[in-house]
Amino acid sequence: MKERIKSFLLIFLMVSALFLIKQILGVSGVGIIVTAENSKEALEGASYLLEDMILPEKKLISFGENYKTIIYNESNHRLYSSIRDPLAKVLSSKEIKIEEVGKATDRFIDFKFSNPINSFLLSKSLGNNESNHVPKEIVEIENISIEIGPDFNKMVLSNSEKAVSIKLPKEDFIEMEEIFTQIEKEENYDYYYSVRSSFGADTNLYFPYEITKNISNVYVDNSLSWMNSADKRQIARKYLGAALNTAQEMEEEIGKTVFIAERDILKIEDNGIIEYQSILDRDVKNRNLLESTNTVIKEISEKIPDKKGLYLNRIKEIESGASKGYKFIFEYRIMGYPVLYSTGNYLEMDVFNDKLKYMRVIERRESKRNSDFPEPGVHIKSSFDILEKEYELFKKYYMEDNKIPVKDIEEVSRNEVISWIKDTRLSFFDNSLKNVGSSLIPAWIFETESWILGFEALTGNLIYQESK
Amino acid sequence: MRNKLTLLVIILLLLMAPKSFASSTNELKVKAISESTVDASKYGITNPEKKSFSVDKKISLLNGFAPEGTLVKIKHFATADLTGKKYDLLKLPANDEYIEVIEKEVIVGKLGVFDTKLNLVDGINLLQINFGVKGLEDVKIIIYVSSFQNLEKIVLK
Repeated sequence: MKERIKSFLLIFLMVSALFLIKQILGVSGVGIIVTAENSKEALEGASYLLEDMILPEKKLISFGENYKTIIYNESNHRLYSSIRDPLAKVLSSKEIKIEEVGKATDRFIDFKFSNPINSFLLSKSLGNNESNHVPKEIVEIENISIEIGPDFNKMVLSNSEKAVSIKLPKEDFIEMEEIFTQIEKEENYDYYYSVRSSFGADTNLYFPYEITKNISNVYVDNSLSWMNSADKRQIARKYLGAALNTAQEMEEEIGKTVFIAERDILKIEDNGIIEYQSILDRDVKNRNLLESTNTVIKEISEKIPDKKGLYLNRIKEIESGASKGYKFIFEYRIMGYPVLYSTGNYLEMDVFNDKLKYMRVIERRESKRNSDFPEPGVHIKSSFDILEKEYELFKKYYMEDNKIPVKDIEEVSRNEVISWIKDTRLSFFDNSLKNVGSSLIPAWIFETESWILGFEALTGNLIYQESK
Repeated sequence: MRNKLTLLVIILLLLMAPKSFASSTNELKVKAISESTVDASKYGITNPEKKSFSVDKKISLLNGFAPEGTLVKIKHFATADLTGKKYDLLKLPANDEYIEVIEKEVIVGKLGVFDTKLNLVDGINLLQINFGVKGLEDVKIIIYVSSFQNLEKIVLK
């Protein structure tokens, strides 16, 4: 009997100890590695998922010879969806062998992210609980290239400094190759050419020969502009929870409602911006990317009503006092085209592991779409047309950026200026001037290390410039 | 007085003669220079790289370079060969069998490059690119479009 009681007590102590260890690791934030199970628990019921968040911005498809196109929209073809399984395998299977990057084939698809993405996070977004040696080999991935060969395909993961190549059986890409062939047969796309081969410039830019596709006339509304006090309190409830009951509500200035709670401040602006700030209740000395990402997903699921076009643009490491965290910057796209807002990034979040410290979101949603745009006979200019029209402006900014004196203007070569441009993309520009029925302007965005320049796609006129 | 006048006229003629002679030689020099200094390396086609090839797409994508202000004329010729079997890259049509499909003009801008897209037809297509510079030969590109499978079926039916 005595022995039985002893055994029972021993088992009870062991179970209690295990339970306590689990509790301590879960709460303290010292347990830096959040397991897949933990993250799953944290995200249960989340309407926004990691797989929605990490998506390439555009796809460059080469059909061989010099036939190339760029596709922005995923929903038309679902090309990225078709490579999720082989990509997940490459980032998780222990049997994956990394090889030297050889000469590329002329039939390939490049999946381009807007900025380098952490490869462990990418692996997680594909449903991998554990990653293999590949993410350690290449920590950030900016481009995933699938080279289509006769006997096997190659997946090349790369960023500006490194590339790794993995040979994969063609069976892994049956769906992708079917989509590839379908797009090729339809020939319903705009052709692009390599600026490197045409200009001899050191760049990975591609210019279209012409844009024949309609881009649609899209209108957006700012719902905050017509909200009454009750509507605004409903939004505030999402951000402040029970703290709203004791929060002070005031009109900071005309069109700006402020809720001040004990530890949080929320501003709802009639111009379509919601801004939230909170105080950290403790120092976060060790930043944890996965835990912070889980927090971001949870917060987006709870607070952002329109998540359909939301995607991660970049993550930056930040510090606040003694705490270390991350800034997550999101962009929004309509019909696959990124939207550039004159009032800033669509969504920014400063997260310190499980704590959201700052959040700013633009509340402007699509209200109407007219697909017959532009009118017959009117064409969207190519990025080449824009560059040629505004070449002197590009040259001026290039010289300023590189501190080249005006007297040396003749020394500056065309290819120097072109190589300075890091990216061009067809986008929508929201000048945020109207609250109701505001028409988005199709625009070409040119991005350099220090500038974002937006040009109206029909006229080529400069409509936006931002120093980074 | 009369002698003096005659002398003056002779002097004037002598003064003018060498001048007009010099100016005419100068003009010749300018002409000669402009012909002899045509820098062919400043004009060219970067895409396609080959000057004779076959494709299965009815699209031709053309890229080239030339100094700013150059008027580039691109003529597209084809042949009336519905079966697509009459000619191929080894058996080309005679010059008089070509029919002009379209002529495009492109003025080269400040970037010194140009690009254009052309819709090809089945069979032999000839692209003739002229840079409008004396002493510079036209660039000729022959493209054989071999997408006859479907057409053959229609013809057989």
